[in-house]
This record gives sequence, C-alpha cells and structure tokens, in this order.
Amino acid sequence: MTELTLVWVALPFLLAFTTYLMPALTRPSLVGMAALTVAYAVQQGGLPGTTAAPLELQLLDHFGVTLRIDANGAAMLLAHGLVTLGVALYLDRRFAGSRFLAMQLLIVHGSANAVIISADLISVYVSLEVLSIGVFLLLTYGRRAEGQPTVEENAPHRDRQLWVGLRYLFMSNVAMLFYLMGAILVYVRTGSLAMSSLAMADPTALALIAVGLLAKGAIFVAGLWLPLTYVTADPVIAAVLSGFTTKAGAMALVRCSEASPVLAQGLPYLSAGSAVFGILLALMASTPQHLLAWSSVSQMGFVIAAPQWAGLYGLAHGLAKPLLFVGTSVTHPWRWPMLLLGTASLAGVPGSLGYAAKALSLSALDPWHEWLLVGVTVGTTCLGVRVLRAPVSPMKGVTTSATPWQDKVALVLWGGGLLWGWLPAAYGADNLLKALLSLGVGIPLGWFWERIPLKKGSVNEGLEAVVGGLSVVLVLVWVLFGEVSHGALP
Amino acid sequence: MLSAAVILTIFLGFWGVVVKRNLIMKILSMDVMSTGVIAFFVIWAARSGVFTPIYKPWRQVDYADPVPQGIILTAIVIGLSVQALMLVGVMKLSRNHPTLEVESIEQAVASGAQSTSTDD
Repeated sequence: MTELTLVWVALPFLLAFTTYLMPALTRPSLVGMAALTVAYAVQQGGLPGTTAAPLELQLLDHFGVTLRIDANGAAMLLAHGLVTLGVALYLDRRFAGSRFLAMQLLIVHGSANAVIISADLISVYVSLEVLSIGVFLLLTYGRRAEGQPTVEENAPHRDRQLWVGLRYLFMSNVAMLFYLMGAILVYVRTGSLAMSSLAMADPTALALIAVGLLAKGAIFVAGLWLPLTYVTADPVIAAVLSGFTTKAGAMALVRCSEASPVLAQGLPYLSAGSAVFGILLALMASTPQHLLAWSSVSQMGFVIAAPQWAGLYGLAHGLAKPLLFVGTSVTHPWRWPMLLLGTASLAGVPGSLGYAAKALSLSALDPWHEWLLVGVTVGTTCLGVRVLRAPVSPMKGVTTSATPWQDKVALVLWGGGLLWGWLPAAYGADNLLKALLSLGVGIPLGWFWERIPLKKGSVNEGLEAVVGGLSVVLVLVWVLFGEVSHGALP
Repeated sequence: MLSAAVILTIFLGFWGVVVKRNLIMKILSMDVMSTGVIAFFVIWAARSGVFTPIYKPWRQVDYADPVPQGIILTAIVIGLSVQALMLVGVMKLSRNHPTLEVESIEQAVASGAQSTSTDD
C-alpha cells in the first residue's frame, strides 16, 4: 500500500514532464491519471458511506515529510479524480494549446492530491505553491480556439484573463508568505513541522498559517479574489477551480484544525462568517455566473463547518459546481438536467449527495451555528431557483447547436456522483424537516426575487481590496485565536 | 533589534503591495516582503549558533539550525519562479497597457467585462 501511495503521488508530475517529450500522450495520460485517482480514492474509503483504515506514512524523521490518508481526504480525492476526468475530456481541439492545458491540469491535479494527503506544514506549502502556479497558467491560457475572431479583436479578453491570473498569483504569493512565517514560528516553538505540533503553537503562528490557508481556500473576506476569477475563466477551467483547487486550501485548514484545539474552536466563526458573507453578496449579484461564484465563497463556509464531514461536503460541492458552471454556458437541452441536478444538490434536496453531506455536517454543529447555516441554505435555494430561471445566454465563441458528447459524459460522471446520496444516517426526521423548511422558504423566495425592490450592490474586487482583505482577515483571525486561547469565548 | 528590522521589512513590503499603484512596483514590494521572510528564517536559524551547519567532529562550536535554512531554500526557489512568471505576465500586459497603472488596467478590464455581458 505504501508503494502504491508513493507512486500515485509522484506519477502526475512524472507524466507531466514526460509528456513534454511525447505530446501525443498528454490527454491519454491525464485521463489515465484521473481514473487511477478515482480507483485509489475508492480503495481508501472515499465513496460516501464507506470507511477504510487511515494510512499514515512517516517518510523522514520528525522534520520531514509525513503523509496521512483517511476517509475524509479520500472523499475529496474522489472529487479530484472525477472532476479531472470530466475536464480532461473537454480539453480537445476546441481549446487553443489543449495539450499544454492538459499538462498543466496534470500538475494541478497532482499538487492538489499532495495537499490533501500531506500532514506536515512544509509539504503543504510546497504543494500549494505548485498548485497556484498551475492554476495561473490554466487561467491565462484556457482559451477556446473556435469562434474567436482575430488576435487583435480578442485582446481585451486575453488581457482580462491575464490580469485575473496575475491577481490570483499576487494574492496567493502574499498569503503563502504569511503562512511561511507561521510555519517557522511553530518550528521554533515545538521543534517540529508536523501538523500534530500545532497543538502547542501560539495564536500568532496559528493566525498566520490560517490566513495563508483561508486565502487559498477562498474563505470569508480572503475569498474576494474568487468571483471575478471564476467569471472570467473559461467555464471548463472554472469547473477545475470550483471543483477542487480551492477546496485543497480548505482541506489543509481542516487537517490543521484536527491537531490544534484553538484552531478547532475558531473554525466555526470563520465558517459562519464565510457562509453569510458569500450568500449576502451572491443574493445581490445579477448574472448566473456571478451568483454561482459568490455562492462558492458561501459554500466554503459549509465545507469547513464540521471537520469530520469536510471531505464529503467537498465532494458534493465539487461535483455540483462544475456541472453548474458548464451547464450555464451551454444552450442545448442537456443544459436542464445539468442545472437541475446541480442546484438540487446545492440546495440539499433529499436524495442528492448535497443533502446527505449537509444533513451530516449540520447535525454535528452547535445550535447557533446549525440554524445560521440552515438560514444560509434558504439563500442557497433561492440562488438555485434564480440560476434555473435566468435567461439562456451562451458564452461567446461556444457553438451550441449540437450537444457535444463531453457534456453527456460530464453529466453522467458528475451528475451520477450527485445521486449517490442514500446514506441512512442522514435521513433522520429533524434533518428532513430542516431540508423541507429551507426548500419551502427558499423556492418561493427565489421565484419572486426579481420583484423584491433591492439595490444591486457590489464590492470592490480590485487588487488592493483583495490584498488588503488579507490584512483585515489576519487581524481578525489573530484577535479571534487570541480570545479563544485565553478562554474568553465559549 | 535585528528581528525588529526584519519585521519592519516584511511590513513595508506588504504595505507596498497594497498602496503602490504601478504593477512593477507592486512586484518589487512583494520581493521586499519575501526577502524579509527569508531573513526571518535565517535569524531564527541562528538562534542556537551562527556556524555553518556542516558537522566536523573536531569543531566544538554552536552550529546554526539547518532545518529552517533548508526550508527557506525551497521557498526562495519558488518565490523566484513565481516572480519570473509574474514579470512575463506583466510584459504581455504592457503591450496594451503601457503605463502598467493598476487602476487603468482594472478599469479597462471592468469595461471589457461589461461590454461582453451586454453582447451576450
């Protein structure tokens, strides 16, 4: 098992560099790698409702590399595999430089896998940095080849993608510098870089580490970078981003909180803040893409709400959002099952994976937190109805008359995964009642939303706001952890 | 004293990233900030001693801690490659936005976004 794990972690990078020499193999190796990840995740208990014994590998001494694979992480790995598999099929001739994109996707896939299973601070740092470089290249080079006029006319869109990519790289690099400072403070205090040593870390170090991971995970105000990035990127690339790259940061944060009681006590406040912040801005947004992007910030709050169900929630959200991003960009009839399945899972309609994940997460929370998130679910349902009712507007440059076979495969892969929601533990009477309550309020609210006189608001999403938001979050988290460690908060 | 200077460097770098208007200046500020973080690691590594951590049995001296130094080597390399990538991106942006002022780029990006959404 150890050998298999090591080969599986290293293989994406090896394949990516090999395919530079043999470009013809890029897509087959990407598909193969994604299938291998799915198989590995299933074997490690990644399917909802199954479990497996956690695997812990200490590769070097206590300064060095530690890996840990448990059922929580395996569920997230399943999402990596399924999303990559779906997106790999899209990356064909319709994309300019599709082989380069496929190679970058291999690297992004490999580094996201590495983040999920790393259990020491420096492996997480390195994997997250590689992830952000890969995501930058995907963002800036993800362009459709067809339907594009000339290079000159296309320049504004190209500049926009480049700018959004640069903004992402700026934000993530600054955030990771904070993270590094936190890591050295932990090392000085405890003499170890393993995540288990976070238990003895002081609040300053925890705050610095948390800011880095919050920014990568697009949680709370640190997620200001996300909406414009998702809206500007090609829908298929947005599927990769929303499918698993942001969740990598959130999963690392969850993993850290398992070791540190202070972080674990502070996490509910961050989760609640992110859920409310995201949903308020999502309700004020106007286009379906903006709605979905802001709703991602809100959903990240749900992912980190209950650490023991973070993987399952990440899987449910990681399959629903790609379906929605692809679904809103096409006009053929297959759009409707895609959107219906995606919104149903997002809103937690009983029977879907989203319902099971939500019910299990919420039942593990404190009452104030639980009812707050039920309230946010009403907003999510409202958003879902608005996305379904939004006028069909195809993305520029995407031919839509015929249904590409990739859309059907994506529907089967991602939508099929969303139907895997029959976990008996999630079907208690109170859980069903909560779901019906939020659906009953949310659906009429969404239906009549356009008639409610409301000022359309927006926030400053400029580079200064994104980086300045980080400093605000840093101060907030620092105060929060300081209070928690002094026992001032319950 | 030394660590206060390092913290000040990091803070000034971060401040520069937020307030400087030119994209090149922002990238330079980010470099200042990462230099500060590197110095932060080096100072903490020198807490136990300042000798280069190459073990010689006949030298009974206080060695510096090799682990932070090893880690920061990785971070230096990553920082360098990220910066190179960003400068390439800036070069491409400068073709249509020669001043590289962040505000003008953001305005152009926002107006472009509006025009495409009305086209749809």
